[in-house]
Amino acid sequence: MSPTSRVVALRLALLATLVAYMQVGSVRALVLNWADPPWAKAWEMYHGKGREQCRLDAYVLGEDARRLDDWFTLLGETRTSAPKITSDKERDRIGRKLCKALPGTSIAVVTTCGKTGGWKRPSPTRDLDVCDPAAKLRRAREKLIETEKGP
Amino acid sequence: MKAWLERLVTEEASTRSLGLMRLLFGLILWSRFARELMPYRHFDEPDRVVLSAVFYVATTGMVLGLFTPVSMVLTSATLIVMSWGYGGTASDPTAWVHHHTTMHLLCVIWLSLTPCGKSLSVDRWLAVRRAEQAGQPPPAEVAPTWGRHLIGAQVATLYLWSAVDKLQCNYWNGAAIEHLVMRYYVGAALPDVWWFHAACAAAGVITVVLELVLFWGLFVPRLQPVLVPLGLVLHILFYVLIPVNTFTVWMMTCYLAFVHPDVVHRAIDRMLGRGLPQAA
Repeated sequence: MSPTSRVVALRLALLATLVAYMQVGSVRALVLNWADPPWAKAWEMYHGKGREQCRLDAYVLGEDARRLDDWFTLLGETRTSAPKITSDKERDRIGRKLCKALPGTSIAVVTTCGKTGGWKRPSPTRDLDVCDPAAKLRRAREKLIETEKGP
Repeated sequence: MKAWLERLVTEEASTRSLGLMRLLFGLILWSRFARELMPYRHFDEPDRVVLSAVFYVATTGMVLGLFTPVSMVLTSATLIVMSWGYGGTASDPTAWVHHHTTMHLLCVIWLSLTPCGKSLSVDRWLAVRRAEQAGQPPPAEVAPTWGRHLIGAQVATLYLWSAVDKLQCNYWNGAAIEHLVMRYYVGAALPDVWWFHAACAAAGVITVVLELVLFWGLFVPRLQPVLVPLGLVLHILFYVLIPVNTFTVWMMTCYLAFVHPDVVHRAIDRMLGRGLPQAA
């Protein structure tokens, strides 16, 4: 028995309504920039996942200046077991560990952290000796003096 | 157009693919939620114990295909309460509002609107037995299957908006993939070589393009022999490379909604050797 035209219309209306409902969360979040409630989830899969992570580059400063390509091997790690860095504090901690691994060396560590869809600027630490505890203080003092002098 | 729309919602076809989806969805739900819903985990919270009991009863009915319409509605209601009511567990309060679990919830709701208990179910077995006792042939496994298009539309919706989101996140430049590589594989030791950046950019572009093609192409029967394997490979790669858990196998099951039910029926018949000459 074939369904009546009323049944057909009802099924089509239900199909259209439910398909429209499926779009609600994503339209709210991705087009209108509104929040997506649990009852209308936006399909943002792995949206911004990992953007809090930072890449670390390490450099030896001074006369023997060079880039430490596989810095993680100095910490006894492999590339896949390398530490994760998400803050300046963690960057400096890794820097100090590198200082211990290469005693008597001046080392700078630079992090480039992610942001949605790209990368932030690298940290302004390319010439900051992380092995010298007073270096950070000196730099802060120099900046203060420069600010007081004015442009 | 009118005829096409009419055919879309009136076509009667085999219910085996719906039965297969019901069975697989139920098993995947156990795999995803059963551990979190074991009663001993929430013995001091009576409401959660009730939730666990209803989940186990409803999903058992769903998997077996016993009182299927009731079991499906009850499973849907349980998942709605879990997702929109509780949101998660004590250790992870947002676990049940995740995209993956939301996909589980919505597909079960859409499947509950179909005659998914007419095949591969205890209900079917009982119907066949009744027919035998009455001296009649077994009832045909045929019914209106227009509800399967809801699952197809849900999958297409996911691909479309996921691709739009990735475009907004500049997936094409590879940075988003590199962030994932740092998070799951290499931490701060991200390789800084051109071919790695190029590979990440290529992976980003391929993912977005494939999702945009799958969004509409899976509905085109002529493209299915190419796009279904490509989609399956995409989900296998997701499963192997990032922690998506039950999402991959769920999406694979959803692909049954795109294949004409009679094709699935014939494939099962062929696997069982029906319609072929039998060995003496």
